[in-house]
Amino acid sequence: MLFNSFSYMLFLPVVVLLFWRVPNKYRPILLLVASYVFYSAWNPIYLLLIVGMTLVNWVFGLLIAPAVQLRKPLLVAAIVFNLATLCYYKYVNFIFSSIVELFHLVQLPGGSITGNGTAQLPEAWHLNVILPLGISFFTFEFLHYIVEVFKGGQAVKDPIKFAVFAAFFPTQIAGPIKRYEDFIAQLELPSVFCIADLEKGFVMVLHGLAKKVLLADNLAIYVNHIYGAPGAATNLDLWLATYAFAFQVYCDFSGYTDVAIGSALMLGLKVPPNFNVPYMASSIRELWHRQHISLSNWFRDYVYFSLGGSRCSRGRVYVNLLITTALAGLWHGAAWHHVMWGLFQGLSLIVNREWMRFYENIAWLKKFVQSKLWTIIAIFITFHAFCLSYVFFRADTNAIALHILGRMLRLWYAAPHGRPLFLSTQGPLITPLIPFIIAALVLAHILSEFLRRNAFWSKTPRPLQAIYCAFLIFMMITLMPDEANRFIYFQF
Amino acid sequence: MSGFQNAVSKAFRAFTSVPVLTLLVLLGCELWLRQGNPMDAIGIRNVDSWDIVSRINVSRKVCPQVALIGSSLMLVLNQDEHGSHFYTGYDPSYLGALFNRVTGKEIRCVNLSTGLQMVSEAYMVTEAACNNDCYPKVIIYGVSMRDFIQDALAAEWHTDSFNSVAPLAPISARENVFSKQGADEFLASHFFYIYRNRTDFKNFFSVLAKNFIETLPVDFYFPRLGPDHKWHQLKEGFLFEQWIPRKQEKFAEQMYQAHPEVLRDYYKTFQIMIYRNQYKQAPEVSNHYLAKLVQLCRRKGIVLVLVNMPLSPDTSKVVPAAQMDGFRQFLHASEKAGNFYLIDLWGDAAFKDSDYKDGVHLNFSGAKKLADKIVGQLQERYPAVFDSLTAGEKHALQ
Repeated sequence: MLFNSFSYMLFLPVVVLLFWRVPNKYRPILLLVASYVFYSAWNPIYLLLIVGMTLVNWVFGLLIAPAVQLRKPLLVAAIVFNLATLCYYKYVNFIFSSIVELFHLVQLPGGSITGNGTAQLPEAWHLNVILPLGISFFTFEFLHYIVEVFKGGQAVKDPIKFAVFAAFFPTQIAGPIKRYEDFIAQLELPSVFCIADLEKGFVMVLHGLAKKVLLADNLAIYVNHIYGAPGAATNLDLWLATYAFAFQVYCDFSGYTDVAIGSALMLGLKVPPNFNVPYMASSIRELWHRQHISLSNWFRDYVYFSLGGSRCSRGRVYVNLLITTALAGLWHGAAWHHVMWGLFQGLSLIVNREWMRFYENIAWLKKFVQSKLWTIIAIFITFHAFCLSYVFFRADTNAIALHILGRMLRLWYAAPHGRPLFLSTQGPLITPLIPFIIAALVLAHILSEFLRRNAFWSKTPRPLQAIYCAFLIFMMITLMPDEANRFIYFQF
Repeated sequence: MSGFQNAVSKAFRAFTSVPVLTLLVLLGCELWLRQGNPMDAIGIRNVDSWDIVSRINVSRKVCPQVALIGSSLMLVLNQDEHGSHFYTGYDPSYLGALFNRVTGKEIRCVNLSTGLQMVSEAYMVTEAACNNDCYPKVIIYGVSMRDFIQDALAAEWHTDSFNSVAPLAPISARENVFSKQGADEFLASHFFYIYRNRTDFKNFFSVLAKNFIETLPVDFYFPRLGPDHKWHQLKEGFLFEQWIPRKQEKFAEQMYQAHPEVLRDYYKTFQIMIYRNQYKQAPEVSNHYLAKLVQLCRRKGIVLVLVNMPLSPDTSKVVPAAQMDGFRQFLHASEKAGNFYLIDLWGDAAFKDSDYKDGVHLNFSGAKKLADKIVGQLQERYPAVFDSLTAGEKHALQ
């Protein structure tokens, strides 16, 4: 079920109403049934997968907690089980394709490559695997649970509550990746209805949907127009499309997160935040503390720290960073251009660390770096570095991404083929409006930080909030596309 | 605080909560939109540009014995000699007078045709018109082969009046909607004018955006209908979003008086474009709705008369002959199966090029000829239709 569908608009109020009507002890059961209904709406057969994985991980948790000698083997078995399931559904065809590409590279028989440079898998090698919705997210939640229980955390004894943790419908498909201690603790306590939370959740759901329907989906029209045929676009268009893509991803995913957090809040449950105005970050390190926070924390806790984190030699730290970010890239998509995107993040983090080391020893530079002017410059540089990395994320292959990047970096040659496409009335109507929309989004980004700091929304009278919400609904109905677009992060 | 005060306070807080207030604001918008179409008032193309809702309401009020459905080819029966009501109005007065003369009684006719009305719309308009205690006894449906092959309009919600009549049709009509998306669209439009009217506001924003964009150094202006009745990249003229029937009617009459050849060329090109495209889903969709229309008429005891509409001899040349033969065979076979009465006017020599305003739509004298033909053929081949008209007259008048 998509959040931006009529079904969800009916599903959520019904679940919220039932949740607050049934006695406390039955609420986890209700949540579980609702979550499984939500998942079944996509493909009922895959319900078996999530139920099966839940059952296996619950048993692993119960076995690991009291185990002494078998503690480590059980942990390894649980990790292998989860990773193998994820690899089978998400990476098996990617692994085979990579082998074929490798064969082609070293000129061994069997390596066949298509016109656009991607591997042509032999028929026998191609597995018709459908990527189950949300598998990357709930697998990471299971891994987190297993590792925490291994470290001494309490295993969840109640299978219903554990199943709700894994399948909770607001976060089931695209996170935020929850921490079991926080979530289960909330399920243990009797939930008390709070109208302020319901209102806050309602507004967040609408806000999230508006980000998706009004902004992300409309920006996607221009992004697809340019990235669909980058050769026909001028360098200026490529920059604009890349800015637009950065905001598309932000609006799409933070929109999804807002709906998820808002839906949970309407049920009296709190899930971790995932975004905090990321493009206002003044370093790439800070950006990853503001963007997809739950995933960044997961990779930090379970990959980076496991590799040794920052408590080793400088070279080793950088290797750790590169491994972590490359895996984060691979998590985003089973393709080499996603790995490149991850490596770009790793390199950016290394450059950031080196820069910090560099100015630490120069007094005047250190003073300048602490000034407001530098903060503005740093925000500008960070945003642009991140935008450049997004070229790898959006392009179909690394070769196309490098071609686009090469052209974008020739700043002195903005429109070599004549008029920029964004100044044309021949394409989608949104095209000439793109510079204004991006400017408005930058402004909104700056303003939202200010408004959040000043608790603007909570001070706004309820009738005004209602008018704003009604306006959002009206605009979404008016400007929504004919067919509902999936959220970008659903594919992960 | 006492228990009662506490309960009142809680109820007040709930009633003034943001979700409830939001619903109230939306309810206000819904009621406002049900009062009339604000976008139509400012000349924006909208869900009810063809004014079909008020015409159905007229039909429900006057309980006509005869209703006309179909595209603008039937709408021209409303026109007068000055070109008024070429695309607007609801009263085919000349046809009504003919029925009065033949039956010797007052026969009320209402024209429920709309521009480019597809079979899906014709079905839904009939559902809406019949969703009343009294309803037409005879429905005369002007069809053309184009309605059965236009893939671009096969999707119900892409048509001009499917969504607009949804609130007036019974909810049970949803079961007969061909596609799932069409059924969802019908459901949403049936209950919510805010949803039904969304294209109006989309067009409004589109006009604003286009006017703003043209202040930028863009390569071309947006297409507008120029004085030669062709779409050009012009600064002046009608944007598509502003091209509404009452403007079309005025513009077409001026053009007819000054340069009729321009109108003819435009529509001929349009016909060529229609028949050049390969079709895929449209026949299946249209046949589905024709069958549903036949079922509806049977259930309600309505006599359904199909008129295969003529084009001018000159424009007819661009219609693929073999394709048209197949279409006519289909219509005649359906007639033999007892689905409807058929008046096949395709290629009728009575209709000359001079009877058309633009090669497709009949002018005032041509429309009179069409009315004569319809009534004449009914008298000659299906006199029982007149019995149906007069037999239930008292019931209709009650």
